[in-house]
Amino acid sequence: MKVIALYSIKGGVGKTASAVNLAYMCAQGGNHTLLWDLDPQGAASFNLRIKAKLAGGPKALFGRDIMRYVKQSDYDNLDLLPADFSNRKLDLLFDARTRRKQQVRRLLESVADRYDYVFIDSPPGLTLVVENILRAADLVLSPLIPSTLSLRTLDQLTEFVRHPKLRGLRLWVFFSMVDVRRQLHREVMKQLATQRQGLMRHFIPYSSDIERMGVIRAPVEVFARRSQGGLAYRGLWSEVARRLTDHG
Amino acid sequence: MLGHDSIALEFTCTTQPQRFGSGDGKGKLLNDTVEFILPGNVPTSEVEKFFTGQFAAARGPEYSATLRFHDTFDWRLYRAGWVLEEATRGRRGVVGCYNRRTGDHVSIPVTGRLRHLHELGGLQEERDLRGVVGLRALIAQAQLPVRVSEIKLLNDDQKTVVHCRVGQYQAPDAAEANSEFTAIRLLGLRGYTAELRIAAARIASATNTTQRECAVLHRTMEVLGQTLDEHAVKPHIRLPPSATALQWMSAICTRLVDVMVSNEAGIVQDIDTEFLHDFRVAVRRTRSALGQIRGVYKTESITRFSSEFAWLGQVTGPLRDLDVFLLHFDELRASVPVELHDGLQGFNDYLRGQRIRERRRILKHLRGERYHSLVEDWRCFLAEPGTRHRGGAAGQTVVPVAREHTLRIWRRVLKQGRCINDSSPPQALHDLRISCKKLRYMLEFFTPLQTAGNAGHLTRRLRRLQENLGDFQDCSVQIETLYNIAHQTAWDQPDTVLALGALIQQATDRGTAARQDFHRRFQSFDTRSTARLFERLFAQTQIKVA
Ligand SMILES: Nc1ncnc2c1ncn2[C@@H]1O[C@H](COP(=O)(O)OP(=O)(O)O)[C@@H](O)[C@H]1O
Ligand SMILES: [Mg+2]
Repeated sequence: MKVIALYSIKGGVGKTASAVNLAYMCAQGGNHTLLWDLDPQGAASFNLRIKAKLAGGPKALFGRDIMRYVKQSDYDNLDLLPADFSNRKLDLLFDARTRRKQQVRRLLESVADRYDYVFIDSPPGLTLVVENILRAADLVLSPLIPSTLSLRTLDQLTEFVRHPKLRGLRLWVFFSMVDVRRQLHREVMKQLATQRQGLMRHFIPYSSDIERMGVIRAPVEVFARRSQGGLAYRGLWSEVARRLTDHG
Repeated sequence: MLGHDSIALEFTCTTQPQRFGSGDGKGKLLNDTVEFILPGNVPTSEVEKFFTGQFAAARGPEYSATLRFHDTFDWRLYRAGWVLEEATRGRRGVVGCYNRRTGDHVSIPVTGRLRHLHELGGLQEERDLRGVVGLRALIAQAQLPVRVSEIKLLNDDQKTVVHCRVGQYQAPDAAEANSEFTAIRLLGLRGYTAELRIAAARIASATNTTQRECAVLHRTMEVLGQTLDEHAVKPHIRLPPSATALQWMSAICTRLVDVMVSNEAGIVQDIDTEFLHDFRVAVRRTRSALGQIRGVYKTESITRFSSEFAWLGQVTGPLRDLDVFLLHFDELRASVPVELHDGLQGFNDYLRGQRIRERRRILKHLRGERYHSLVEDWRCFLAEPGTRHRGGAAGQTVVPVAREHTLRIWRRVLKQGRCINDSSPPQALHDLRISCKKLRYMLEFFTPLQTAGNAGHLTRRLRRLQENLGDFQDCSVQIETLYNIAHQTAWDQPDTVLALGALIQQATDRGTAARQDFHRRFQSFDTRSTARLFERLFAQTQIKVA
């Protein structure tokens, strides 16, 4: 089982859009895939038309068999563990426990033989929940909007991931919401490509189809099969999958 | 919206297996597959109406297909809790694999007809099913043409919460007047059990029917006028303990001759090797019953049957030996050095050639006068054993007779086993093996009369001893057979003889190992607790009878 976290310190960069689309494509490839919506806003759950609600709240979830909460999506091989608005109090719940940073990891261990891939749609920020997610993940995929501040964001994240307890965790960054008509975006991308290694070759353009996901409530490929956004995510997923097999 | 579609049974685009059900198999209130049967052809639009006000219905594809239920001839999958069905249209098909115990259902798209389990593509189910099927072949047990339409039930979020498949069936020759039926199958999605239950309740109240497990399978069998024999292999004899030894004996033997006859077709068609095996086991059991349960029939009345069944065992033996070699050929190959693998091919060709010859011989016997009159006469004899054929024990109640003979053979096993030491000839172990087999058959013949737990315990202990003796015997037989084959045949390649030599060496080593292990095995059988189990084996029924 590989755990892939979609994470960025910042909000509104395309984490949720990416988590939903990549998980969908992963599942399409025949992998048993779980998408865990850990953002209390529940946007990923909403996008799959599944209610962001856990009976008994997060306390129940972190105390029991997680399969009781899993929902089968409308797509082959793709399951969702929904969000819950009370997940915003998850930091408090974890803080009161022993092994407070390993709660997410331990919960996932119980489904290790059931799923090939777990995608986590992470909330932004640098919270205890985020630390939990990073401890559980094999790979952090981080969307980055190519702007003047992006270099700083990237440095912060790189620094954060360098923690000794996170050894072995891979951080791969891809550009998101790229507007190729904007000079600034092009320049920043060019600049970063020379300065930083490990950037994904594929990027996700700004696309009205991706934006519509929230209205139609489905992965972009499902309703716009040949759209630019769908193709971009396809390309990104095949690059991720290839790099994962290359890195073992 | 809903331009997409992920229903597994859609022939046009699905390429992925799709799982339904929670997959956890525990603590469930309701199976995740629910089936209803309605008489006649119920149009899909009618079915949709059952859910009005509760779920929106989205129509999926409609198509005609052929539905087949696959199982071994003796319904092993079904008895182990599985239903394996296949819907095909042209070259495309979907295999549905349903587990009655957990309620889980997985649909697997396949190309062409399902012939081998490996077409299930390495899913967990494939391994599970393999374990159940063993060496048996899968055959299409029942098939019917069907018109399928798919409906997805949606909740307020337009999320699919239940898959509904409506199948309209009709027996091909419409032999039965009311052979038309409609099957509604609801497949639950993980995490939507409540919705499944509601949908099922809707159908139940709208149609005034109740759900039934594996309803489609059972109705299909009914319409085709076939029976699904759940107890095909080891039905217990249903007679009261107060029955006479004669009644019991004739029940045992009648069942055994039924087993022989029911395996004939499988042997003739060469579906798999187990038909012959089961046939032979039934022959051996019959001989054992005649030889061991003495005094029920007059000895002179059954002499002819005993020798005829011995003949039957003898003429079917060589083919079984060849089957055993061929079944284990891959293991044999792996056990000799790679350099000799080519040489072994010659041996394999030889075995296959012999097998064709032996099969021809057996088929001739099975169609021949001698075998048929044996079966017929034996059946007549069992149905009406005239008073002049009855022995002294015939009229006794069965329990004391069963006890007497079972304990007698048990004592013989002990006596023979305790005499065996490191210098005993191989024959001593062979004799013990035969006695153990007889004892095992006794335990099986009289199972319903025995104290519930004891019989199982004893059988398990005895089996461990039998395995050891069986290994030793197999090796001895193999050595002899290989030796004879090596000498009698002119081989194209000298390597073949070398390979046979290597196999003989292997068999010798394995035989020695088995022999060394014998004492430990026998000692763990010959214990005080085994003795106690035997002494009390018929205790309860005895009290009941008294
Ligand atoms: N590539 C894109 N092109 C256009 N809009 C996008 C793109 N990716 C995301 N969006 C939109 O931007 C908003 C924020 O994206 P989201 O994936 O929710 O970000 P995050 O999860 O990081 O907060 C959403 O309304 C989403 O529909
Ligand atoms: Mg988000």
